[in-house]
Amino acid sequence: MAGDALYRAFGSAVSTRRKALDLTQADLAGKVNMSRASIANIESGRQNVLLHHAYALAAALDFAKVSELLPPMPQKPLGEELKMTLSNQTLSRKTLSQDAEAQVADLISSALQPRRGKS
Amino acid sequence: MADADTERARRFARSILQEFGVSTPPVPVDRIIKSRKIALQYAPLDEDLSGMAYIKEGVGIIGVNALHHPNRQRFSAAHELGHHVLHASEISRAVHVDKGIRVLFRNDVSALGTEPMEVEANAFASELLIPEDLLAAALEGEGVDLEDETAIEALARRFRVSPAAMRFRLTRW
Repeated sequence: MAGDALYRAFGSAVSTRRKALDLTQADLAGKVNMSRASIANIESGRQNVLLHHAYALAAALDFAKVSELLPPMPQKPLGEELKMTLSNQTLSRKTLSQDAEAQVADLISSALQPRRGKS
Repeated sequence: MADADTERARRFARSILQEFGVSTPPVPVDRIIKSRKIALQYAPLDEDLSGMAYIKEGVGIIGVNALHHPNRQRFSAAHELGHHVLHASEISRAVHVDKGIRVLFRNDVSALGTEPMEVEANAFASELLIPEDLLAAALEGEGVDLEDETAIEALARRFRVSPAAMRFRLTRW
């Protein structure tokens, strides 16, 4: 994943999770000792994130692992086009965005990978 | 399209709970999924996606959006398990991706018979996470006032589900 896209994906993950937990940007800033402006910049993908900040954010957002906040590594393609069906299609008449399709494909690839060094 | 068979879905959920020997909430949905040799993955997904279910060459996969509230993730995981238990042939043919926003409002749709798979998976998840007998025990023979937010939230916390999921379950009591 290219640099900018990586920071945008990380930022949107922080923002989505923060809202799911009902925290404001100021709440989160307080928990990780950063300014609210920094949180806003990280969420919009405009600020590069230091490694210790990534850990602090993951902990403050109630994740057991930092990786749950990180976009998956690009996997080897599955070798075929994945056929996908979407729930509620009759209601929404929407299809998956390319990003969402890629997320789902990556998730399937990592699920199918032989377990390496997992506890 | 056939009508949703929610009674069958609830029956399957009850037999899994019995097999697993669950006697107190919260129901260990992760362990139940893993015991069935289904690969369970948490990953950041678009906000409006709650999860996915797929069977590839006999390998079962459940994906859950790691960014949602943990209690909502439990419902998504149970919902996807429902697809594996009830809809194995459909999810073998294509990856089934769930948009989560309407998850608790699909019953209106079921009246039209449009999304029976979703209605069934919701009934399964609801019964799995909030089993009838454990709910009865938690209510101790008393009723609960649906307007009483505090009581609903306390009940939801015991079962580690969202208050919305608890309210959904209670209205089908």
